Amino acid sequence: MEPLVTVTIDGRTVQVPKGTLVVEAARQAGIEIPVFCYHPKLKPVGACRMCFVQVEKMPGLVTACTTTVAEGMVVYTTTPPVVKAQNAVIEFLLLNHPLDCPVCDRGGECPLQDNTFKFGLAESRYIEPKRHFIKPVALSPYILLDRERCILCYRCVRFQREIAGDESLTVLDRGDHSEIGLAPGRTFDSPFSGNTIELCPVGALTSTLYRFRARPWDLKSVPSVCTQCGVGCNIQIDVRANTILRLLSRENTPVDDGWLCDRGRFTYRFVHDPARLTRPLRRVNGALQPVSWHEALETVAERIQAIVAAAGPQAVGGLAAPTATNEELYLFQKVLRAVVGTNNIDHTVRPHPPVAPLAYDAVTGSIVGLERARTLVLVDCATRSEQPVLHLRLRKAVANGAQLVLIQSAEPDLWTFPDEPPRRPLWLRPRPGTEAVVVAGLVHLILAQGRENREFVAQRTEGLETLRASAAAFTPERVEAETGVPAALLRRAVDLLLAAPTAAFLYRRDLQGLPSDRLLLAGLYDLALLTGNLGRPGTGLYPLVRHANSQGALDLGVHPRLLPGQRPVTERAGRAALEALWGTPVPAEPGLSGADMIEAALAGRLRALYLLGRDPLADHPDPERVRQALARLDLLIVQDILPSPAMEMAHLVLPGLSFAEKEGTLTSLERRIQRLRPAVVNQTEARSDWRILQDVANRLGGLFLYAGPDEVFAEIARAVPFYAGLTYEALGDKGLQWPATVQQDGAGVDLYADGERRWALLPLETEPKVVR
Amino acid sequence: MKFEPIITRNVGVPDAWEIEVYLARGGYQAVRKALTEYTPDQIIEIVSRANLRGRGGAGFPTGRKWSLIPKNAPQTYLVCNADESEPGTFSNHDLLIWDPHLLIEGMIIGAYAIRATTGFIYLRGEFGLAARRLERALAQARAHGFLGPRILGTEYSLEIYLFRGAGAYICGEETALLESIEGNRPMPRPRPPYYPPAIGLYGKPTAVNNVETLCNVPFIVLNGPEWYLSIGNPPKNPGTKVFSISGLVRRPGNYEAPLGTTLGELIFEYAGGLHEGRRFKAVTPGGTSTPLLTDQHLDVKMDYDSLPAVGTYLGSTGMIVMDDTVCIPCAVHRMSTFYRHESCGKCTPCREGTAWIEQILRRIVTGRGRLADLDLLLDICDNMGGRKTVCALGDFATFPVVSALKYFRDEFEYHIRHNRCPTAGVAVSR
Amino acid sequence: MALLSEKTRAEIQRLTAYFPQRRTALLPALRLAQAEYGYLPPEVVAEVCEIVQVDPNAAEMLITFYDLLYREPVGRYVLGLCRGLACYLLGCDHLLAYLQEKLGIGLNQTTPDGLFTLRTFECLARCDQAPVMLLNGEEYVGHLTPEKLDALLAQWAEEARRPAEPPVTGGEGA
Repeated sequence: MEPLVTVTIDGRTVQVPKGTLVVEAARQAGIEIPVFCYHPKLKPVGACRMCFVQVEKMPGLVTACTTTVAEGMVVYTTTPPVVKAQNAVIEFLLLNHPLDCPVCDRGGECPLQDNTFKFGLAESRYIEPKRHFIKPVALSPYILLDRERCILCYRCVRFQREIAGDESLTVLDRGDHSEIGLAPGRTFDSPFSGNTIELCPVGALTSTLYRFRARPWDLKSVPSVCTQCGVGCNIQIDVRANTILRLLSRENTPVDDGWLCDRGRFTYRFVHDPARLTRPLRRVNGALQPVSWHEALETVAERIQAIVAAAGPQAVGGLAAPTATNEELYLFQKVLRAVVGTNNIDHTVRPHPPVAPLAYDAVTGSIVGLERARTLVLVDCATRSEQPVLHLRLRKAVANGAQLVLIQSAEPDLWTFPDEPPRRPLWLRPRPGTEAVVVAGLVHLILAQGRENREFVAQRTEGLETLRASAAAFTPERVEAETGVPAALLRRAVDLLLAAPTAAFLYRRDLQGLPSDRLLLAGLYDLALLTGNLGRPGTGLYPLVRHANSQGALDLGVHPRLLPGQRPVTERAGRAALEALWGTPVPAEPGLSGADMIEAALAGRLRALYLLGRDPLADHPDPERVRQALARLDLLIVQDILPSPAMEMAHLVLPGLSFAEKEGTLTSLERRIQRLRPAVVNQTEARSDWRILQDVANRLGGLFLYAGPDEVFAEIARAVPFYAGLTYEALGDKGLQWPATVQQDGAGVDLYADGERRWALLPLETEPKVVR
Repeated sequence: MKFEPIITRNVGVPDAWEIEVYLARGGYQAVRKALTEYTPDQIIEIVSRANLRGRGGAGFPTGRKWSLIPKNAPQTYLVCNADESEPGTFSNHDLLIWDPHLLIEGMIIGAYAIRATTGFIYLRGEFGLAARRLERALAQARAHGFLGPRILGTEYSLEIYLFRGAGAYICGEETALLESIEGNRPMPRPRPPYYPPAIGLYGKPTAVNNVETLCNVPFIVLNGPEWYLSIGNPPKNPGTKVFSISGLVRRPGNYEAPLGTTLGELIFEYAGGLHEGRRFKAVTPGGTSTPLLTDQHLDVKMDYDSLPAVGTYLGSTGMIVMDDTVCIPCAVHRMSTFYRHESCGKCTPCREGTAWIEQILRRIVTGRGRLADLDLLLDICDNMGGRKTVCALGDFATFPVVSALKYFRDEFEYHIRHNRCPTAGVAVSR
Repeated sequence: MALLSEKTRAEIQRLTAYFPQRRTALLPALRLAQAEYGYLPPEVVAEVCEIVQVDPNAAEMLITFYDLLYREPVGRYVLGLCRGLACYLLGCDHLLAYLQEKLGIGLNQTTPDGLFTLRTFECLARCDQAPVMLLNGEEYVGHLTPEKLDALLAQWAEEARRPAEPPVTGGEGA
């Protein structure tokens, strides 16, 4: 905690931490100092000269964005010299600024307009010809540049260099001919480019999708959450006439730090896609025909019952997309378990990866906690494309001094920091598929050198000797021979790992789909425990999921072997608790996984398949095999919002709602449960997915009496122990990480912080040599 | 009454840029003395006592600048600003092509004083001959053991890089210069916090010194501060200055003279005065980036403190002399095109103001001015100046305009009232 | 098919390791490439950026900022007339008009035979020899008069037919 400093601004006294900029101190005192180039998340450059203030004992005027507070500083923001300077800067900026307000997207939410109104004069003395550029210029398919409007605050290029870590945008030419631009043939292709639209204080950078579509005061803004990946960035959906016109970021600092990636920002037009499913469909004589909901639901129920009667409940299976809401997923698995009587439920068609034997299958730390990791170990991650805004958080951690250790065969994503000496990550580059051996080698070295965290290992683990014996074979020489990673680099990685007071381990939860996955998972798990990096901010295991609600699917038991609460199906106590809650028996036999369901369908053992959500089969590596499997089914039910390949073979199609049209919750990769809110009203016959499932359940003989998704959520909070106490109200607009019993102050929640459990170290099974 | 040159003693001497000639004329003895007889802190002490002031224009005491470098920093840099671009200034140019070893010698001592093991010479891109001479001199110095590891058998090592610019006046501004070396867009950095002795090249403590400043150092070390304080206008303005005198004088050239020599002496005795039948009208005392002086100021001493007393600055002593055939508004317009072209574009008042000023002056000199333009120009200058910009270019651009309006307002009014220039613009000397 | 010679590419490669930081090599690398190729079209810039490992945008920023880096092709002789105040007082505007007339081109243009490009530069720091010209970005020619220009142009045109020797400038630093 920095010591506090007392500052007086326009007669108001505030206490702020040492090192605070005067412009920030003023904000805290409730005084507005106008800015353009200053932005709290970018390094100050002092370019626009708008934020002048007068400071006692300092000559002339100083810029508030580059001046830090000093004890007893006295600042004035409205003296005549300050006012003259502000008027002058506005006049200078408007000399060549085009009178585009009537046609400029920024009008109505424009800092230049606002500052001119508050801090400028009504007239300009400029009578010379204004500077002209051809406009607009398409920098990319999404971003247009109006160079005449640009006031050269450099926020866009600074964002790209400092935050995004690329130079995908630059400033060309010099002096009053300077312009934002690109090298010939280059496009503004950063996955974070859309943030510059929000950063731009004028209408120089605008969105192609939104251009000329609306005025901000016509828009209705609804808070929601992005559904494009597992990070769960918060967004604002702006709507006019029941149409989504744009998505903006909505800062939830511990999650997204105020940023939004382009995939999240620009992927919403599908909500209004004319191809949206609007009516229930039933296949009659080979063709899908519209039917009423009543007919559709009746058919679903009849045909499921017929199959169960003929071949038993195990002939029925359900696959949900990991983008469905918690309420939908919960009802889905409840229908299949409580009403149909099967555990044939899953949320993926890929093989289930091995999972760390901790209490929960989940990221153990938080996103914001990564800023406190001094060493970050990333194994075969592709955060820049799979969890883009998380990638920015990792860059921030590295900018703050964290050391990166990368274990991957592919070229690293951009990690350079142009304003400081390049912080080269330590890149251990194994042959593809041998990452597991590298990790095992790290375990070996730590034990061989006797550098494990003795206290942590003694108090919180068991099985050290078994692990030691199994790790003996993974000598640096063997690792080098098998993987190509030099022993010296391996040793350096161990040094970096052990030198850090906090280290976090990030990897794809799906791992690699190789036999060596078990070794890889065991190695990472053991590393975290041997080094005592579990349960504290900046430490932990981060199995990164890819989809918006993959974690919710795990938590709610959309899994052949897990019940809600991640309890094994085979465990009596878990089944009993659920049976008590539901008032129905819960099947004890583990069900088929998604991959197995495809095989079972091909073999004729699975006769009915219910698909919930946005194309749950999309991830299967063999689409042709999937098609053949589906063709063999007696009953294929598709509940989705847009056509998918599966629809071609569906017997029944039930139209649901998109993320922007419904209430519901999603659980992000850091275990944060956040609310979706409806921004537009679906005016077709499509229905809420949770209601469809309730109707199906009741027609199958169940007794689901939920009046709304909030009541479903209330039951989830009772079924899942670590969701206990959660309500929609408690989640509010920022969400909460589970377990929600822990006080949440924006610093992130870590699992296993109480240190009460002991964990069994996993032996490193010597695998047959991986063949690639 | 010419002064016996000290800094420029090798200018004009055939092959003075070759190390054999330089050594024969007593070169590199100061390095030997500095490295073997003094500690770094003692060198700073000597230079501080001598009160050597930065010759690039600001006149900041060199010893004080060096003392601001932290003593325990793991990495520090000495950077020589050889980007000479201030219009009217060509003193560094001659030093670089005739006496590159003098600069190298000064740099070795300066780098030693601030414990830097790496130095840079940022050389103006257009200086082709100087680049060849410097490269050759650096190689010769290395071959003779004055650069590289363990210089002259001491523990001190130094490597000097030659970095060539590519044509931008702003790179003479010390923090823009550092940005240029770093491969970035050369725009000045805000201070605070980016004072080079605190955060400089590659973020490390850095001293940026002018060529002429560094060329003074070997003599101060060899002859001592008292000797230096016996020259010029001590105690605050000791030593000599290489004055660049050009424009409408009979003998344009570089003239080394003691600080405190009067304006009149320099123009009439050193540079031979004006051409036949012409009268002295105005001069840019420290390059075009300083307010003009006129025939009222011939007795003013040219040093760092006397000039501010008459409302201008010593600057880089780029003295461009104008006579009574010169139209001041046209000349000022020409100066304004320079600032418009050279503004880097970073900060609003300079970027927009330099262009606006040029546009207004262009209208005036082409006969489309308005009387209101004159006070408008002064107000624009007031809004641009007063250190409200990130670097001094914003102020520099205002000085010719404000001083010309102060002393020659009638000429501007003539242009406006008569819609034409009285002298048709340009006087040619021959 | 590389546009730059192996020698230039190797020298650029050497520079990336020579300075304390890699990016410092970018401007020197662009100068080297231009010294060989004459100017910096995007294809040449791409080669440079690949070796230095920077985004082409970084190079574009520098090329458009600095006066001595050329995006467009230039003639064999780039005549850079100084338009600083001293040269202005000594008649550079007349010389500029003279050259435009004599060569039949405007500012920043190249003669059809590819020999001469006419540019201006800001104060070249050789005011004692005003009016001054910078030849090919490297060599100074001072004390210009129309006669001297006539002689030099003729000499350079003649030289262009014998490419082996470097251009004669008539004295610098003497």
